[in-house]
Amino acid sequence: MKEGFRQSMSWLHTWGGLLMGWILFFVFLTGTAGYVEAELDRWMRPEKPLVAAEIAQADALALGLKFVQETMPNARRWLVSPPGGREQPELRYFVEGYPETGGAPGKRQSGFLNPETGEKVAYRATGGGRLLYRMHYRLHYIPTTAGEWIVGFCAMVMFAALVTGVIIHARIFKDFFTFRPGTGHRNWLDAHNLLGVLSLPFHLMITYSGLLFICYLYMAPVIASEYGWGEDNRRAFTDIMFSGRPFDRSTERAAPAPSAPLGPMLAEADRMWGPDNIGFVDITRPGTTAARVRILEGTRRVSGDRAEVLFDGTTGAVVDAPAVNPVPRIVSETLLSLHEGLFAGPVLRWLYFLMGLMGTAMIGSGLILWTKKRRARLEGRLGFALVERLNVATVCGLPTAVAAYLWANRLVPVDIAGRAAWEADVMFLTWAALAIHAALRPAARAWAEQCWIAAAAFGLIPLVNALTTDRHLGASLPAGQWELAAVDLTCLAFGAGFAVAGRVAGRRRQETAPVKRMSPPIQEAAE
Amino acid sequence: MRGFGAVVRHINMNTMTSTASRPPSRARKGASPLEIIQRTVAAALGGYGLAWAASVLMARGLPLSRYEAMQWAILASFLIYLCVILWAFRARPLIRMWGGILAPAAVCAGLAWWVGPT
Repeated sequence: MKEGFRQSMSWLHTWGGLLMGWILFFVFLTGTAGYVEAELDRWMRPEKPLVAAEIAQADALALGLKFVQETMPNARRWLVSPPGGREQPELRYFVEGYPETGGAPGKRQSGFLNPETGEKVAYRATGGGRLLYRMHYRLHYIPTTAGEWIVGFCAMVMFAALVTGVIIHARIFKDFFTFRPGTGHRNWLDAHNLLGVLSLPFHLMITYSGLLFICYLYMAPVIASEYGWGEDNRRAFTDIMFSGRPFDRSTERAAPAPSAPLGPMLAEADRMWGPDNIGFVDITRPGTTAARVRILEGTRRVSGDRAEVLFDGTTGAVVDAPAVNPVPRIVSETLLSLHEGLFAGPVLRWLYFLMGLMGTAMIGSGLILWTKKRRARLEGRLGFALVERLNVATVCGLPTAVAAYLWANRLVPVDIAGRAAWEADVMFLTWAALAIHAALRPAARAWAEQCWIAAAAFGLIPLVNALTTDRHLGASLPAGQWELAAVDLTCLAFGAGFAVAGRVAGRRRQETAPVKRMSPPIQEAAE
Repeated sequence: MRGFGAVVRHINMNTMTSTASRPPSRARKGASPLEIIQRTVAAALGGYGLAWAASVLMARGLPLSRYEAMQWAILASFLIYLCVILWAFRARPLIRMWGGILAPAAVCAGLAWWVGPT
């Protein structure tokens, strides 16, 4: 019975992993890019000054608040986020109007402001690292909800694949110290196990918390059973789950009333959290009797929640709104914040990035392992060829497509219409081209060639950057601008890694090639 | 173009030989396409159904505030789903597998309905 159990779990692991593996590879790769979202955003906006000017948050906030008041005097909501720290490099604003007559939602507008002058800044239109991050849970080109369902389904299979992987891996601790390079499919198995076991806690956390993030969709019927259907009812739950407080979404126009000055409110925030530690200032229904000013702390923590304080916008008095934070919420919030890793400093962020890459590599090695184990028996079959080609197009092709996304950021003309969309189009066109390449070439050649294409695509990024901007390594390294330099240097490292892989794949091909060339005459002789 | 049955039989063959060091278990030998379809459906839909019924029961039955009970239920739902998926591919024979999913789902749904919204 025990063997039968392990075997049925092995079946689930193998086939669930294979069928969802390609999408999971995409999800893990783009999600890993999400851990360096801010750095990629920075790199993809070379118009930003090389070194940001030192600006007191209070001054930037004043400029931002002045801007939103002038932009939309009768707004339902003004939101200004001053620059400060990695998570908020920009002076950002968001304004939202009251719903139009006829029920249409109110106008919305958002953007970046120059923190010294308070004027709008014009960066090139780009999806940035943010777009890669978004792709990892909602894919691209398809409606958000559809993407979230597909990713959720794959995540659930991933969850099962992780647990079955542990079950079928009978000698998990012994094998952890086993690596047998150069032994056919065994070394791929060892690599797959090593990658899986080494970061198993990360994989379990990231998969479970990923499902938790979109629980309002996946488990909508459960929430509806107590809260009722519809967005408003759902939010009664999710507002508490995600921020610990109900949120004022009222769009009714209250009676006009003079506004209390913001200065004392900001001073109170400074007193509580220290200077220059404001996340954002969020003013709802300003200039009315219902006005509320919500100020959030800047510092991020593992337990997720940032401190916040709510003021009455007309009297300036603190409105007592204690956070709801019982044990299950702490559990949920900690899982969510571990997933996002917003609290991570540079060392921990590199570790997150590494873990994400290991997860991606684990999935990739699992996909390759499937073909290695079955080559002798199944080579020549249509299904086998399909898996093998999809593997090349995913494991080599997708990273190259991400590199192409960075190329597009530098090479697509700055003034072209729909520029940000073009960047993503270039990424997916590259992926499609490489999938066609993988389909047309013999598999062993396709591996070697695509490794070299990936090596060139990543390795040349610093050069493309140097030819198109003055934010290249020659400028960023002397200035100590490590945010920028790290992107170029990491691309170089990826290029080197793919070059090594290309050499290995090329050697493998040469080793097997003579056998193949010899085989037809031998066959003829046998006949 | 081979039929679906042939593809599934081919998949079964792979399963048995993929763990070449071990003798193929008697339990897997009889896995027909219909069995695999049943197990997959049981895992995907039965798993969701039981996760849903059990979580709703938790959300309604736990002696906690509405939010707390719901948050625990949501946290549990994905873990329940996971367990059902494993069960769907493990339990033999098929009738026991189906019973192990549908019976608790019916009990949970019935109790949840009986408790009613809080």
